[in-house]
Amino acid sequence: MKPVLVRLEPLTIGTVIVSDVADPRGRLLVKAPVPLDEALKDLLRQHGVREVFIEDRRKGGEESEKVLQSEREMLLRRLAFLGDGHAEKALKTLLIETIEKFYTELTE
Amino acid sequence: MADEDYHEIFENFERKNGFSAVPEVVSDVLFTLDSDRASLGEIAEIIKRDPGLSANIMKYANSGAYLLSKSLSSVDQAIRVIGMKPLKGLCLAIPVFERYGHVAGVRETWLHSRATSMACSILAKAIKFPEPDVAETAGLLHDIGKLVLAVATAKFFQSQIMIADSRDRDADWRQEKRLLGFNHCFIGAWFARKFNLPQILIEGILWHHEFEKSSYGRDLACLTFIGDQMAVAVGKEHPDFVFVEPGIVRALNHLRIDDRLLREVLTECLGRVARMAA
Repeated sequence: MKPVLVRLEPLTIGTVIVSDVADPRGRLLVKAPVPLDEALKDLLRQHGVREVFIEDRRKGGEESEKVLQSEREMLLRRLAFLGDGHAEKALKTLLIETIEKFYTELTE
Repeated sequence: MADEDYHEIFENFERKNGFSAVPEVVSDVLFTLDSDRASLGEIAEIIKRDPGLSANIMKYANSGAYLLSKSLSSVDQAIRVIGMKPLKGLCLAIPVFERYGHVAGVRETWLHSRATSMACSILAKAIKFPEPDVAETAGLLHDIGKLVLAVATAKFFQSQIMIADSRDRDADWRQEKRLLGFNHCFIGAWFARKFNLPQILIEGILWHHEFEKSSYGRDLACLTFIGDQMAVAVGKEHPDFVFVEPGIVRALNHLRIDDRLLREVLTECLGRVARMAA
């Protein structure tokens, strides 16, 4: 089994966390393996945990594509406050193009 | 603004030993850096008296903040790479962020601050800002007020973390102002004043979300805001607010940063942040 570090936020309930989660002082928050539920997600958020290890069931190119897709979704969310004015739309396009190009080259 | 409210926050931070997080040796470093005769060797000798601070400064210098051909293995090397001016901010920031790393949101604020510092440094060099070292320090310290809020008003800060990605909310600094009567920029400027940081840096921290209000250091405040927003764009967002603010368009215009330059700076920033150690 290959563990992979992923963002906590988009994880669906029931996903199994496969590595212990500790706070930055090393105190254990969650003992693995444990399936994610809403209460656990809230607890991790409260301790500022943004990423957890899950089992990586993906293969090759599919993995890269999923990473890119996840990054794209997170990026679009971060840019959601930029409005629909001409300058804001142009900036949004520039940011998306530049960041996507970077990640595409990184995963190639 | 309600004086008694923010005084209460400062007192609460002090009650939680916020300032004792800054080791004694730091005041010697700050004092020596303020004197005109300070040498890097002298500063290194002072820092070496505190093994914890020495280790953390070396860790920081090796963590992706600087382009290095090989790992740095001594405090002297680390300080030479960091340089005199950013050292002051670093000596203040590292111990407090280290001490309160267990408080919800502080670790993320530290990662965000480091990414902002890198973005400010890259941007400052790209636009030939006269003091790139000051820009780097402003990036590192711009959200130090958030740390104080996270420690002294933990309940409030956690409530903001819980709605960090809600679209039905104001930006963090507006929300703080509305709910507390002041915001993290004000608290950060107070922190910077307490440690006698240069006025331009205090202005940069105070007005990094409202650069038009700065009379003394408008360009630095504007640059710090762009660095802050670039850090958010590349994925090192604030723990309590994850969005890029529309004000970035005004800021880019103010510093006359065109599309070509922005692409270059953003690409370099992405590379540096990707190499940044946790």
